[in-house]
Amino acid sequence: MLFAALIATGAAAGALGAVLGLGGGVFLVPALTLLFHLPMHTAVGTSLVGVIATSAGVASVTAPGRGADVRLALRLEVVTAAGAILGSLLAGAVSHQALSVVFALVVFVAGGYTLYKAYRSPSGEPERLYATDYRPRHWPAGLSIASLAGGVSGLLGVGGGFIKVPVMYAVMEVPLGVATATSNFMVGITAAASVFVYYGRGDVRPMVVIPTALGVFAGSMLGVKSLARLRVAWVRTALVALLFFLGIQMLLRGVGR
Amino acid sequence: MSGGGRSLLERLRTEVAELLADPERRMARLSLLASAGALALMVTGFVMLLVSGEPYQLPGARALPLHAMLHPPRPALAVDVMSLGIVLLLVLPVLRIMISVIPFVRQRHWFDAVVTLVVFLELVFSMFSGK
Repeated sequence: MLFAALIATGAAAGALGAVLGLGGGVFLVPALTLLFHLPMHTAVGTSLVGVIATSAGVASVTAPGRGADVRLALRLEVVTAAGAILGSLLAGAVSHQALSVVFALVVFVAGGYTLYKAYRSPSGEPERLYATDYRPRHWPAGLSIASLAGGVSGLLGVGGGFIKVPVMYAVMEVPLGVATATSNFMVGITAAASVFVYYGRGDVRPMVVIPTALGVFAGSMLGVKSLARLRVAWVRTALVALLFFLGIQMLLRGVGR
Repeated sequence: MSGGGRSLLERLRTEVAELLADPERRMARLSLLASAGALALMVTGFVMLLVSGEPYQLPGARALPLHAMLHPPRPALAVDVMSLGIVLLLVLPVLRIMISVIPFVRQRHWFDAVVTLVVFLELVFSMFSGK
């Protein structure tokens, strides 16, 4: 029963993570701690393995022409991975409350900017989810925020896709489908940068990881298959709603409620 | 070589040539094969554990430390097999980065090749800094 519940939780996180390009860590950590009463470090270790499984599941079934922009991903990942390493080294020196408030502010800004970009652009023709004739813009801003995403990833033990997708979509003007696929590629690398720390500490428990990873892998494959049938507006609405929900949760935790 | 053997070799050659020519397909194949292998190992170890009479409890035992995997031959315990599957999944992003560099080198996009190498080195550094 517990095994099946972990598979179901992993599948839901994997599907959502794949569709939204988040990796699923932001869903797994609260679910594992609140529903399964697992210690925080075990939840984070499991979540990081889940993020890698999501990234792998998405890469396994992505249709040609709908994959990640590997060049963009790796250029951003130079500063993201560096930020993740720095963040994990600083993790012990920052209070959880301060961390939560910073997390919330970053998430609110990302959600607000995504909404602003959506309603500012002319609505004459439907927005394309995928395209090949785009050129990423505003590199200095994109790289700066990507390094911040890496720092947050290292501090909180998540993939950081909830920052990467809005940055690529709203700041760098990358089509949303491409931003999502690229984020799915990136979160696997970012998670890999910190997961071995948790593995070495003994926070990766096979009894938790195996059912979760099975669910995440299956869920992410289903999620990416369904992405082709979704409209940009639906994906964007789900992303913004999730960002504000997470932001409120983290802000409440930060102010001690 | 028999006709069947030659045919298999030709198919293998064609497959490798196609994989080298198409980075997206190569990445998908690698991800699917490595993930399937990792999950198969995890499930095998898990079934071995249950068959041995171990109860299913959370959070359960820790995964086998990496240095213990490099020790001389030891009995194939369930936790070893599960841990091997987990580690295979964890190194997949590193493998994907290594594969990503091939098209950049072939196309002589040296800047992107160097960028990929830097990311690879960052990942290797993080793996060792965690020990």
